[in-house]
Amino acid sequence: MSLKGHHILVIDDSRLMRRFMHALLEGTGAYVEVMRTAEEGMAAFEKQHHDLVLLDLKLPDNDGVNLLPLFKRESPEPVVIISSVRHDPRTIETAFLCGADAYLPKPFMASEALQMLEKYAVRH
Amino acid sequence: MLQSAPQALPASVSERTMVIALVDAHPKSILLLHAARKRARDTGGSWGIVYIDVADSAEARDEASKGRLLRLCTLAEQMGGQVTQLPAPTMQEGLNRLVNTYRESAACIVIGSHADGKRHRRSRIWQQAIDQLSAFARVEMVPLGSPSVKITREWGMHGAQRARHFVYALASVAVAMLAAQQLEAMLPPALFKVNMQNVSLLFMTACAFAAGRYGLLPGLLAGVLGAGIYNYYYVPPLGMLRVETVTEALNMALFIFAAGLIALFTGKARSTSERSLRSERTTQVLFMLYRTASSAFSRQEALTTLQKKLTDILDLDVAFFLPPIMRPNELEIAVPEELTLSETDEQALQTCWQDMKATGLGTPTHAHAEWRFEPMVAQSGMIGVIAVKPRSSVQLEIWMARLLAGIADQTALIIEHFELTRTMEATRIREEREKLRSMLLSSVSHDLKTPLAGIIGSLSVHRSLGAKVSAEKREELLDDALEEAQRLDSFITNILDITRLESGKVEFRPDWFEMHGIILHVIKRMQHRLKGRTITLMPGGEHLEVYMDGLLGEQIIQNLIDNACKYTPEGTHITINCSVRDGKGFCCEVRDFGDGIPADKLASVFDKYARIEKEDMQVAGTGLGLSICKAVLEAQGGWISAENHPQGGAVFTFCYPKWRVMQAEEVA
Repeated sequence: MSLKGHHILVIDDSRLMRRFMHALLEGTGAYVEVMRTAEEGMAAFEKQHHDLVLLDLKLPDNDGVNLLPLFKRESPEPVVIISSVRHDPRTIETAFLCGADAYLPKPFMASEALQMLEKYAVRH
Repeated sequence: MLQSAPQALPASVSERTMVIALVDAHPKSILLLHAARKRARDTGGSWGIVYIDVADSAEARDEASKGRLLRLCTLAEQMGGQVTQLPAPTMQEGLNRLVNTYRESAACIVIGSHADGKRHRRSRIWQQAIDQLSAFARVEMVPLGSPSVKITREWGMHGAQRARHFVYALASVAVAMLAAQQLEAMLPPALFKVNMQNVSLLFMTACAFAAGRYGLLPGLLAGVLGAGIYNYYYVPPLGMLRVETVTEALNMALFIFAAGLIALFTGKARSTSERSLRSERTTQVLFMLYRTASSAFSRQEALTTLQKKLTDILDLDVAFFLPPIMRPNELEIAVPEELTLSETDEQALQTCWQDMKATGLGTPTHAHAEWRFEPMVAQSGMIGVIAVKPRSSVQLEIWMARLLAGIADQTALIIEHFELTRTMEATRIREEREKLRSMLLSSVSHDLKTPLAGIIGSLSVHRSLGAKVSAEKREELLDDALEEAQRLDSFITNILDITRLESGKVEFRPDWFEMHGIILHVIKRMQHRLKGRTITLMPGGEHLEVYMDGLLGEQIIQNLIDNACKYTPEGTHITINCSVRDGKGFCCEVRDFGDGIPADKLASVFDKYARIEKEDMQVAGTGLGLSICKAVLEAQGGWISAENHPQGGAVFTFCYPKWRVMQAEEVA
């Protein structure tokens, strides 16, 4: 399944991550929005419907885990994938309990990210 | 509070690390607890106490034993030990349960024993249990003294001391008699007869002295004896205890009456004065004990204060003996630092410690000792020994002996309190340290993985998209990856640097350097990093040299310039202002014109991994650069501080204490 035409929101405080994810997803024909903070991410989420959200955990103004219930309450449809360098069992379990649909541990290869996003785009 | 013995140990316990103390209600079982805790701390394992609860045993019936045991268990729990009760119908059954329960987990088992080194219950079942325990764990015997011994205290004066008072009363009468004889020898017989009434006054004086100095009974004795001697030697018929005339009978009756009254009132006055003195001293001592308990910061401070105050109030020499941690059944002097005891005193001290009873001066045990030793017993058991020695003018009387026993008990409670506080504090610090370590590890791991994630992501996107993206975009991806790799390299270098600095493995090579030249060299090297930022350098005087490690000095300047770059926009200005400051040495101020340091972060800006959140992780620091500056400077006797400039921007000032004007030939 191609990501073409899908609306994807990337929320990550790492400039590098935002840049290469933007380049990668734009290349697939998806509509990509990149945000740095939890506040910016929430605003973008409320403003525009997204099919997929790639969410970092450690954001400058909040923890990504705290955004999950807000996202789900706002709109349960988008698939939210957590992507973080923290991948201890407790963190992953908490993320799923809070409503995450998938977990993409960092660092990841471009192909791994695409594979996962495409998988959930199909499901969606 | 007590927990039942685990039925089976978890299978995961493969390494034996636990230290167990087998305790009972012995007053010195607390020594086993300390020994177990010490061994566990040395080996890094856990520790606990085990109590075999035999139903219907003497210990189970005795209230004092139960109370002591309960206190011991509470203490062990508060000190971080595990408390286990092994209920059993018989001691043999209990020992079997002990062996089975700890077969897999115990590395060392501490058991109390007689002073001669053998287990205090020498029966076959004990020997068998010790043999079985020795098969899988180290069994340590700690001598405890006789288990049957009860804490005893001897109240009051020894009989000999009381007898001495009567002897002194007799002596005072003898002195009066000698004086009378002297008077008789000096005066003509006629004159002596006229002065006969004065002779009676001599005996009266002896009576008053004995009553005033040694109390009512010795006073009465002196009075009666004086009357007898006066009658026998100086009242006709001489050489007989008899009176012949009414006048003489009246004189004798008046003499005895007056002597009785004097003895009574003087004795009473003495007793009242003594009672108020005792009361005052007791109040002073109790108040002092209370104050010491509430104001001292450490056990040593408390004991030193107690020793000084007790010496002042009671006019006694005071010493405290406590068991050293490594050898819990021995005693060593705690306060004062040094004390020499005679052989008798040494024996009395050991008897006091072993048998838990008052010994030495004023007691039947080692009565000839110069010191008196009182056991210090807290609720959890025996803590140590307090020793007192009366100064020459003071006698150790009943009230003082009682007061001493009270002081010993109160001191034991104070010591126990400090032991407990110290242990709890140590546990809290250990937990805090562990938490901090875990947080640092998590922070470092995050900081190492984030740039790696960026590098791997950028490069993999570069490869996977290939020609699908513009050359410009691909170039950007490569630049990003390279920059992130450099950041990662700097982070790892910083971690290694701070680790080496903290472990003292950095060898400083100080020499005289011109700071101006070093700063210029660093600025030149950092042109790429400055990205359009300009630096103004004010050297602060010509031909000045600073005594420092040149390479590490460069690193300080580099870190500070790098820090300024991180927190200011491109194209802004940085100033470096050097000057010689009175009392501080050669100082450099590095100022930027950014947003400054948030007020709540100023105090922690040099802490490891402290970072001020920046707009983007890309430019945020590793949180180690400033810590390195501080460590390097402090190791060379210098210092660094951070503040915000009144007109905006952060100012970092660092100083080296040693500087000089360059030698003339070098300038040339």
